[in-house]
Amino acid sequence: MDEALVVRNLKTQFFIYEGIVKALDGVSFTLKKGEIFGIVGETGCGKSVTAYSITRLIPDPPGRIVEGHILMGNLDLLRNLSKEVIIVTKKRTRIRHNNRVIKRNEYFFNKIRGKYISMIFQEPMAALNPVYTIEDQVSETLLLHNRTRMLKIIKSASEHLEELKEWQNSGSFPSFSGELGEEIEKIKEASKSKDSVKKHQELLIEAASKFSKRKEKFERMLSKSIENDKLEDRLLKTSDEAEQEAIIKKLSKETKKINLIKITRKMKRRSKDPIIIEARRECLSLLESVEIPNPSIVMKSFPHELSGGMLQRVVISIALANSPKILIADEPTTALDVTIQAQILQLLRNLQKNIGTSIILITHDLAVIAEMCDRVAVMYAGNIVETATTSELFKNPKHPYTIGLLRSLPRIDDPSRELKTIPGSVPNLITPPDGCRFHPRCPFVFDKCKVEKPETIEVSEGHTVACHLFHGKEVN
Amino acid sequence: MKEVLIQGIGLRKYFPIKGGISGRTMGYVYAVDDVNIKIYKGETVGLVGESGCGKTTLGKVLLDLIDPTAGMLFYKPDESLTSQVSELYMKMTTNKPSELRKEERKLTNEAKRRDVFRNRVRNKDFRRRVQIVFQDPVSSLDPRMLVKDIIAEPIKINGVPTESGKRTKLRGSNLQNYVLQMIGEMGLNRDHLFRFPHEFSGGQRQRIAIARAISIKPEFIVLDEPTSALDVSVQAQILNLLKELQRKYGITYLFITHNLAVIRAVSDRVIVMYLGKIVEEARTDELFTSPIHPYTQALLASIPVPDPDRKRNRLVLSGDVPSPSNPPSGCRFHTRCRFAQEICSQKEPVLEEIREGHMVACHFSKDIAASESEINAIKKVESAVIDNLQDVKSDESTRG
Repeated sequence: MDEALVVRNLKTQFFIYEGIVKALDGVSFTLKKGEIFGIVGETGCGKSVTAYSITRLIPDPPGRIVEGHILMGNLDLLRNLSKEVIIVTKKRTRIRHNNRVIKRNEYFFNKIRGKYISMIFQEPMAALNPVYTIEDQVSETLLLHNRTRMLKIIKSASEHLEELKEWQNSGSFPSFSGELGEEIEKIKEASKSKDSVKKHQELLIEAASKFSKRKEKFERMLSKSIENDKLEDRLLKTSDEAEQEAIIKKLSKETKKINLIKITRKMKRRSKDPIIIEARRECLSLLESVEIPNPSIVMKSFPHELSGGMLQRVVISIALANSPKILIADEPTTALDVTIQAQILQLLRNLQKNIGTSIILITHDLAVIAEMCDRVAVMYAGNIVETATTSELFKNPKHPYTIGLLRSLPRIDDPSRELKTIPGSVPNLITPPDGCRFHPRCPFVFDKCKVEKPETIEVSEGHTVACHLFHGKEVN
Repeated sequence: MKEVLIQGIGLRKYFPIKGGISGRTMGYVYAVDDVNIKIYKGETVGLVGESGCGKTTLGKVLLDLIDPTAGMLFYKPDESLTSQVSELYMKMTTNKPSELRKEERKLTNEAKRRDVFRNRVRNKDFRRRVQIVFQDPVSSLDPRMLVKDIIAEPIKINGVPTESGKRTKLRGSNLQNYVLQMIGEMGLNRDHLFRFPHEFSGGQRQRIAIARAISIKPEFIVLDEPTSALDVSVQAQILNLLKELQRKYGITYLFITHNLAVIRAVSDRVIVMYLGKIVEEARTDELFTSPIHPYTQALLASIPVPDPDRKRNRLVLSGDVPSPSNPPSGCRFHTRCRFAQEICSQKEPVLEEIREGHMVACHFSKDIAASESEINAIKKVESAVIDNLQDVKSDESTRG
């Protein structure tokens, strides 16, 4: 099994006063493990709505996922979708929200988001909370999702407390086995200076000594979080729906108690808690891994004190804090300058190599796609019109829209080329054109295009097109 | 010899930072600092740089939309006068506005009379000859005005130049016909005239903004990121439209953008800015094939190319752009430069001509230019050898 995420027939609509905006009209794609999958398209074609639908961040009302499946392993993330609303037809048809199901889904998704699927947003300034420090915000996801690992590290550190203290001022570490050993290897790799290693040691020793003072309590905490982790593992592996349901019920009881803001408040008050000290250390090494200079100073600052590129690094570090299986990057570099964009793209590529996360990269910039992605999907007006490997798409584009898009691109390496344009503009999605949604702008349009929506067809291996011009095997 | 249309000398714009209870000036943001710029008639000049480097401020100063702290602007100047003035400005090394003002008193009356900033009559005439198109068409069009009124407004105020050179103010059906003709050139039609800006898409709005700018037949237009808010397919439409208009009316453009691919597609000459200063200036082909300033090199290397097979070794700049309110001493780029040496942090480099029409502000421009030409020569030999090899291989394969 090499699929990280399978999206099938995803339909998201927005119910507004003017009518129903059919933002996604049956989007299907597969994200393979360890690849960077790009989604390109113009403004309003549904790129971001796809991303928000996967993480279930569509504001409801007005938006709602109407139909579709998102499979992560054996688990369908949208399995309760039809139960979320009750359609009442007495005098006129009305939609009633089933709050119980919605709430439970919400609790369940709190477990998924940030741990298995995480997201980088376009505006780093808007993605971070202006009233909390960087440290608080990075630690938050760690405290929510990564308790087991942190507790294990402190536990084994508390067992080796004497040894650690001996090495404290040397700026290097003795070698250990197990979780602590791995962590120390990581620190050695990421830290550039002796001072930062010392800072790590200091925090680790502080946490470990706190841990040994109230050992029983934290041991209990550890065993409980290990139990939860086992449940989550089971949830992703099992294909039995009844079992999945039972586990989700159990887990959502746990998550109910966690209030995100409360955690950060508590954190401030009880900064003596070893987990919080460990989260601080972890935060330090995360900021180091995204190449932020002076991480110990940045940790204590507020978002407005940092530049755009720096903030985007912080956002990336939050997204990658729990080594998620899937990372959705929604226009991660659009708000940044070219030189900073180059830095961020290089960073993303390196991190992807190290962690092995699968990335969905959403952008309107074909050049970024060409540099970063393994495979690309081109979207137009809520449909994926073409999917192929990057080199195939650029060399051998099939869909008329893709061809037009590539021709309208000014090229830095070929200035003499005349810019060809696609006539017209993106259609209104409240009343989209019948048949193929591209047909009013398509140079090859014929009668069938105006009536029938084209099926997705495989023209060569791994290259699919939704267009009546091509014949081949249909894929679902 | 091409005719100089607009020349700015020693242009400076410092924005005061107000602070404290009494609103005292705490310091300055040096948005544009000692910029000399010449724009020839009929050409398209590209102005590139990262955000916050003073591109837009320079564009606005060139149209006298904001008052400069110091500097002079000439419209179709004499060479004798401008050389005299630039000599005087070369000597000004201070960056305090009060001292700059003192120094500027030394200027001759002749120069002051010719200067667009200081001569009111000249200023009014100048402003009729220049126009601007802003980045965001949503906020640059009045939401309460119909499209026909938006386009007719500048004509009502300034009139349209006739063949004799005088300006006539159009009225009634003449005006209506003229507006129709203008909007026809933009690819819009009669129906669009009686609508409000919010009823249009981004590309159409930008067309309306361009129609408004073109309507008084200006000689010089500043295009301030006209396509950055648009999608690529629409961007291509707008760029083609602008080219078409230039061919037809012989307008001179200053094209401000951060998108280097667009610059390459439209401009004849490129000016690269970094933190309020011009660091390099050259013809487009030359700048893109043999950039010399380390900043330009890094900028070019960091643009992604829409070609998946082309994997280049990227020259990624470390760090951020420093704050323009407290720019680094000496060369402003030395904090991020890979060639930086001691002299860079002490002495400020001057913009020097190293080849014809290629100006660079770097202490090591000559060294870099020399090594660059060497590298290029080596690359040429290499590629020739590779081509040969491939020919041999293909020959073999056909034989085999």
